[in-house]
Amino acid sequence: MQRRDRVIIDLSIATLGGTAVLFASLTWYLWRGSFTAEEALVGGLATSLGERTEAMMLDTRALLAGFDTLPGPRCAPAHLKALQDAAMGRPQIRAIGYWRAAERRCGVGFLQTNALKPARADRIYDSGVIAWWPGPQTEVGGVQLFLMRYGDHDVAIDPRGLLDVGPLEGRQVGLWVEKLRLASEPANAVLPSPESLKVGLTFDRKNGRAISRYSRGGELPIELVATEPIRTFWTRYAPTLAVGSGIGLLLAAAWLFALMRYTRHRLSLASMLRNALAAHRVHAVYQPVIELATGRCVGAESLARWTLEGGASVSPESFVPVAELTGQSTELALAVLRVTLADLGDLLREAPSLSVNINLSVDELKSERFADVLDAELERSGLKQGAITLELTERAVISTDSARTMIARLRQRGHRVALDDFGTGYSSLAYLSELELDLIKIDRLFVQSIGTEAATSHVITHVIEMAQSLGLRTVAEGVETEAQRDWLKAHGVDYGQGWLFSKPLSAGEFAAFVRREVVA
Amino acid sequence: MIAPRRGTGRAIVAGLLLAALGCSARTPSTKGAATDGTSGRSARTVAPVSPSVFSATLSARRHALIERGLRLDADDVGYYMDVQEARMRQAGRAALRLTRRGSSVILELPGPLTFESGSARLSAVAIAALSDVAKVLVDYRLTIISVEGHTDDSGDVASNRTLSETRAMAVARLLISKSVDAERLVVVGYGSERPVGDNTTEVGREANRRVVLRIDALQH
Repeated sequence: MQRRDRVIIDLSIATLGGTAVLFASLTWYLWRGSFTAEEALVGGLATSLGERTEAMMLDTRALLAGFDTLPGPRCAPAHLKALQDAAMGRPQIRAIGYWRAAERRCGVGFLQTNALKPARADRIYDSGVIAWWPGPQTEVGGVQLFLMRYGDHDVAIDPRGLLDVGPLEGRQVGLWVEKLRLASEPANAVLPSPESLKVGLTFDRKNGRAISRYSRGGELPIELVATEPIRTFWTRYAPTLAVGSGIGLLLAAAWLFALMRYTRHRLSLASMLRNALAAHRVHAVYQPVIELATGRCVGAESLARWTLEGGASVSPESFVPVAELTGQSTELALAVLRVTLADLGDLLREAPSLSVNINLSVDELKSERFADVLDAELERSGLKQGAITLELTERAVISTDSARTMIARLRQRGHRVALDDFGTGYSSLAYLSELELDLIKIDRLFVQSIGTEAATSHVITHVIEMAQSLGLRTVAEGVETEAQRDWLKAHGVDYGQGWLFSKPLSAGEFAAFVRREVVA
Repeated sequence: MIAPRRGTGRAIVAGLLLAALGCSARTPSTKGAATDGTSGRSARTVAPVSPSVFSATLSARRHALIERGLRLDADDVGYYMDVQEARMRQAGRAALRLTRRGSSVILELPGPLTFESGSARLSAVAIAALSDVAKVLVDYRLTIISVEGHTDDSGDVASNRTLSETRAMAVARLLISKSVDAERLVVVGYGSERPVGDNTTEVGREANRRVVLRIDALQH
């Protein structure tokens, strides 16, 4: 029962853990998704704005350089027409002026003003281009203009058009060029300067807003800062997160359901097995063990079979682990023992040289109960201890000192002990020599590798040598061909079992198999 | 605080006297040629002043120019000098080093590039660069220009003073020949007394041999 509790606890932990992990990873994934979506959006905005701004700046610069080399007298009709043409094609240009030093002589555009002489330039480039970023000193009629002058011409630009990039969905956006704010939307937006921000998305909890900064290299360093209330950010991404959470819940539910199904199956199989054991519906089949040197049958391995009431059978691969997991392995082993003794009692009494193998798990070595019942049953059947050989797996054998003590005691009583599936576990000469054993069973994996180039085919030789050096007899499992049998015989393996000799047989068939052989 | 101010006051008085003398001597020739005086006349007018009366002379000259109506509104000074600086940069050559100190534009002509070795004759590079500078100065005429000559400390003080004056004069004459009003130029030779580099190294001495044009806005 302890074991069963452990199973339930483990399953519960797996359930909760799995659900939490699923939910957390999905939430994280969606959160990242919202994050990157926002960053990509601002990044895209910055790229298009950056390109547009850079193009505008470079175009203005080129325009001014062109004016400087215009032929003909200044302020003459041809000169003014050239300025007019340039202004016409560029909606952002408010005015173009021709100056003598600080005196505007003539020009074109909506602003025919002589007043735009800001007290301090923001940039004076080595090329001779001079620029005034939008600010109070460049404000005309409520619009802060961007001014650029080269030689004797200047251009006044309305930067508001630059941020006309379609719906900003409630965001406030600011554009910085060469670390100076060039434009913002809305014009009076209060925005932190890019230098004070990390690149990417940050949350300014104090002011309750999400801030994105995006930097763009190129000929002009351009930066974009976009802010929006955190509430808006959530509102935008809430549907995604909600749908995601829904899917997360569904997945978690599916996981729970699957685990419950599995657990129920496991547990119901366990209770069905309990009923089957109580109702003696577990029976056995017998696979003959043959002495290779003589070809004589020396016994059999008793294999548990479970047939349901409807006639369907449950495979040992699924019910044996369930039995072990739910503390029923001793009952199973005893059931097999009783069935075997009932089936083959007569035969074994008749031929005392035969020995039938019963598989044990580690549980049977932990208590006296199995050993006691075993002796009692043998006595009741009038059989010697030698009639039953006990098969143990490596895992069972090495588990505890008490298991070793139990093995020693069983041998003292006269049982033979075989080590099952030898070579697949922890086999080493060191631990084998510590154990008291009679037989080792070579796993079918090694037998099947005989005659092939597989690396395991070399291992079997060592396994055989190891057993022989310890004075143990050997049984090869899964012998299927005559070549394998001959090889095994030649290498001094004592016994074999497998389809070459016989498939597992019913009690009657096995008795017939033995008698036929004797007769022959 | 009081003593230096008195000193300055005295220097201004002296400068005004000097300026008055200069004006009276020049009166006949300035008639009708206030803004675009011929180079011949200007060349005669310009002469180096000694460092001791330089600041007084400068301030007297400034007053005189402002009296003539060559004056910037205080609001316009920033724009005027910014735009002028940009024009200087546009015209600029490798031969010039331009810096800005407040509303003053400072052009430095390194000796080795500007003059032929050991003489006060301007190099071809310097003539080309100064011609471009002169064009800007003619356009932006509401400024007063100090032309300061400097040498390194090799040789005796007197000959260094003379060489620095001669070199500064060569620059001033070129500007005048390119139509810059001589009235706007105040020439001074400091010899080796205002080094900017270490005279014990060749690099430092090279930096010290220079002519500096300091362009200031004409305003009250």
